[in-house]
Amino acid sequence: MVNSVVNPFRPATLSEALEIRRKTGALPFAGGTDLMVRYRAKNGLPPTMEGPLMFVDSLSELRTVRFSGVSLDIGASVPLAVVADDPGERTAYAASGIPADAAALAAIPELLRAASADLGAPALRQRATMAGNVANASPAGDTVAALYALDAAVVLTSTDGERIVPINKFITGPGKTILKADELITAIRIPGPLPVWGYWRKVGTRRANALTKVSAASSVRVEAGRITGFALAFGAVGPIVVRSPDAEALLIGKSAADLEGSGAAELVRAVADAAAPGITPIDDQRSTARYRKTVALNLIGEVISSLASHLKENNT
Amino acid sequence: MSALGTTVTAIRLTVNGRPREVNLSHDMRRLLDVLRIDLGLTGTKEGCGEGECGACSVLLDGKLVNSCLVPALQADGSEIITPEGLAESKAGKLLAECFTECHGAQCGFCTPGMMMASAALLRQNPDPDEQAIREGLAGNLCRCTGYDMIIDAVLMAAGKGRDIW
Ligand SMILES: Cc1cc2nc3c(=O)[nH]c(=O)nc-3n(C[C@H](O)[C@H](O)[C@H](O)COP(=O)(O)OP(=O)(O)OC[C@H]3O[C@@H](n4cnc5c(N)ncnc54)[C@H](O)[C@@H]3O)c2cc1C
Ligand code: FES
Ligand code: FES
Repeated sequence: MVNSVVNPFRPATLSEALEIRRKTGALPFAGGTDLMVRYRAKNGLPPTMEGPLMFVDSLSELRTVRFSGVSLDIGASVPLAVVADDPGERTAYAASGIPADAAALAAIPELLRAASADLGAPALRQRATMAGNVANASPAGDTVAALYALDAAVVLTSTDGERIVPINKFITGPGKTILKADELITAIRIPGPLPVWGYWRKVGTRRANALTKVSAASSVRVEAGRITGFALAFGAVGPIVVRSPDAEALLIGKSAADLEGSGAAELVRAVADAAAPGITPIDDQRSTARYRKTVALNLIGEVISSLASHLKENNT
Repeated sequence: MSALGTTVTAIRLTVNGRPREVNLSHDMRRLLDVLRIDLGLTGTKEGCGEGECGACSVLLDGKLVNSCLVPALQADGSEIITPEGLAESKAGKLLAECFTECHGAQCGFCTPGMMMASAALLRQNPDPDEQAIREGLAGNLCRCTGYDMIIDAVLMAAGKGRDIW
């Protein structure tokens, strides 16, 4: 006897998926790397989730990567192995007939590639998706911290149409988003002009398959040798990823010279002081509040010194 | 196909080159349990059941995945290579030889998963350095060897294998 308790929907097209979502509110299931663990039963047994559920991993409309020349749309179900540029993955993906040409894949900002490469391990990244990481809304979500620093937006689609919501408006608390019961994330949008430089650093217990204790993500725009845009985001230091607008403002207008020498130490201190009030971590099984805050503030020094070397090397 | 998608509980897989049809006893049954219990392929191991240890690694359409995290239904229509299938291939035989020679297996529980991950890595990068091997095997835990002997085994296999991956 066949025991169909969950009856997962397996739509073949996005419009079919949106129809199912509207009629049943079925829970989207992409790589399942969060959901299979959340609903894990004992060894040898299926997970305990109840329906309705809908597989969205293989919907071709959600697997595209498109670069308009200005902004970049990464489809909800693109495997993170592709974003992370794991060996051979992008070449195979571009050759697979999916609209994701090599130029679009190459436009993925280095910061986001690095954050994705620090998520899980190779096998996990074959299944895990960025939309799953974003919808999961963990303050320790690695791509989430990078997406905050990139001012990314979430493309939400329902049978009624599309809305585009900045990531910091989409995520409202730990595990909480404004996703409506009839919507799917269809893509993550990185607005242009894409940054020329990015910084990513994840601190965890080990290199792979380790949840983040603290992460720092930064992206920068430079014109005529001066910083015109600077974003600084921290993961796992509060209920949601935090940006530090007051700290960011201190770098606008600065040039390579300002980030070096005696002035630099003072600048680092000022940026850390401005960022400190927003960094409100907790003690948990992974780390302590004190460790997290200290590391986060120390990382500011590293962000600024590596930005200084970047500016110098590129002679901007 | 109904208006609201398909609700199938029988799946077709090609496992180690052989077409197999499986009636799922539960529609969220894990690929791991289909392989081990329904098909009796116990070379695929269950360690953590949560994606962290890699003991359950298999190739799904050529990609390394943790079969404890994949509902079998999601794998419907795909090609699976398990440690049993790998063991029959030139690549698997060479990996087994090198793991033995380098003492890359002690209790052996992680070994099938380690070999699957090694094979997946060598397919993409037949000439990996130590760093690339460590990254390729990062999702596979071993409680016995301390890893170095496993790395040696993969380096040896890469040296001897060249075009068999
Ligand atoms: C061993 C292990 C290690 C991990 N390491 C890390 C790590 O280092 N860093 C990290 O950040 N995370 C880590 N994770 C967590 C997880 O892998 C990521 O959050 C992953 O990106 C989730 O993607 P998924 O496609 O597997 O999500 P799923 O499990 O399929 O779904 C997660 C959530 O997203 C929703 N969802 C999925 N797709 C859509 C869509 N298109 N529209 C709307 N909602 C959607 C689902 O309904 C669900 O609520 C790890 C998990 C495991 C098991
Ligand atoms: S059993 Fe699947 S990763 Fe541990
Ligand atoms: S040999 Fe025992 S776990 Fe690896």
